[in-house]
Amino acid sequence: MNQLGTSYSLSSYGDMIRDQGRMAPYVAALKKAIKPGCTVLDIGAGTGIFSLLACQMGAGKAIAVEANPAIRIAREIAAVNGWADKITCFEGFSTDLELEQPADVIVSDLRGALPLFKMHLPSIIDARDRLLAPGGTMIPQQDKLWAAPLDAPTAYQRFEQPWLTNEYNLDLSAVHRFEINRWSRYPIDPKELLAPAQQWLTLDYRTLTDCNGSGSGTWQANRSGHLHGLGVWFSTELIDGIGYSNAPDQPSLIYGQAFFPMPEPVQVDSGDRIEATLSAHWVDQEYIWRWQGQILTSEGTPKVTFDQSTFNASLLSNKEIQYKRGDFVPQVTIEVEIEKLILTHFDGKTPMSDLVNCLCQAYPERFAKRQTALSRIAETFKRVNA
Amino acid sequence: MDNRGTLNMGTKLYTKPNHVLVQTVDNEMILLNLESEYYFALDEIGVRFWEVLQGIDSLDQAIDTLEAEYDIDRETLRQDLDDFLRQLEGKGLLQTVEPQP
Repeated sequence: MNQLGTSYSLSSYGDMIRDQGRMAPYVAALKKAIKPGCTVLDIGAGTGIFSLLACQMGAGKAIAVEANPAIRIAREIAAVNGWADKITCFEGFSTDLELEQPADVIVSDLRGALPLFKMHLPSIIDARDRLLAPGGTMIPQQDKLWAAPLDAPTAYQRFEQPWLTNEYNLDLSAVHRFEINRWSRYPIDPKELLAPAQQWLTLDYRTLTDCNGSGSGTWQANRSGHLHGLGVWFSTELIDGIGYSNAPDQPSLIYGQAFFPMPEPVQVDSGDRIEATLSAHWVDQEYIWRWQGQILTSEGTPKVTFDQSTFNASLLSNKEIQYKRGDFVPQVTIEVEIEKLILTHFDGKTPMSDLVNCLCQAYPERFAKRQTALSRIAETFKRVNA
Repeated sequence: MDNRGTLNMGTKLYTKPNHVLVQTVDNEMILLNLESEYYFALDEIGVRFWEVLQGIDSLDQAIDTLEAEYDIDRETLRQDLDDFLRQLEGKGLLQTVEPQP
């Protein structure tokens, strides 16, 4: 497993706990779900806040799962609060966790600006199917995704500058075709909406089996303006009737909202129709987003079509993707030989100094200094034991 | 192929399925089949084949263009293009559709 989802800093966990728009509904949901003595599985626990709250509310046991080193602090916090015997901290991913007894409640918030984010869905589906007791409770229960066309020149500025306009009188437009395939976080002003939001996807975590998500919407512009892109956000139901919304007209939450740009700003008139399909495909441990559709006049005449994808947001090369190709045949390289040699000596007997000698003798040009060999061995050790 | 990605091959029509994404940079083309999660790369000649196949009505038209660019006889070119199309079809990166009456 790689390091997906482990990049938060301690202060960002603080930001999440400070966000009352998020925390208050989570606390209310936990209060509703927790029965005395129950077992709670807290996925993406950070510094363990939900596990601590669960114990405070009477849970008999909480398992805090977090790949970020912040979990080490969670152990200390659990002890300080007197729940060292109730809270078990697991440093790693829930997909690697085994439980003797399934959990009665699974609580998580693995979303980014949108719920289709990194390992969120694969983790939740796996945890629900393997680690939740029959009839157990999932928090959140479901997320709904919303989108609206935006007249948002500020959001679009970063896609145009410096690629289409710059003070150096240079044509940098080649980059623009990549940039418009990237979505970004953007705090949407409700005044930027060209039409009321439409719900385009529901993710019901109690029944979901697919990590991909796709949905469509049709919007009718209620005023004229420039369409710069689609604003996307989510609302959640944590547990029956308790939840929150990240909509632009609601108090802002830590997640922010997402902006999916058009290839170029499009002049729209009141009554024009915007049709779009948004999709997120889970490919090789990352989401490939796509947004495609068309803008039509109120009479139905097509004005503009668009088809964008994060697949085209970064430069790919044959060399970079070759390992993803089914027909690729890996060749033996010097790096492979070195790796084999190192791994052969991870035998529980060979001390580091002998292994360094061995590497320096076998590849004297590559390892002219012992320190270089030591670093290379350490690199392999850390990777295989991550 | 026309701008919807359709190539009329006389008896066969080839089209790029909607679930296939394409990126071209620096004489290389990377294709991704979102359904099978299969990546595929075209080298410089493959990219040229793909380009030439855009906006033509028959394989002969593509062969005419490529014959002028490469020192290869028509029959070999026909075979190479045929293999190229079959390979892409086999990987689900092109699909055949029924010609419209």
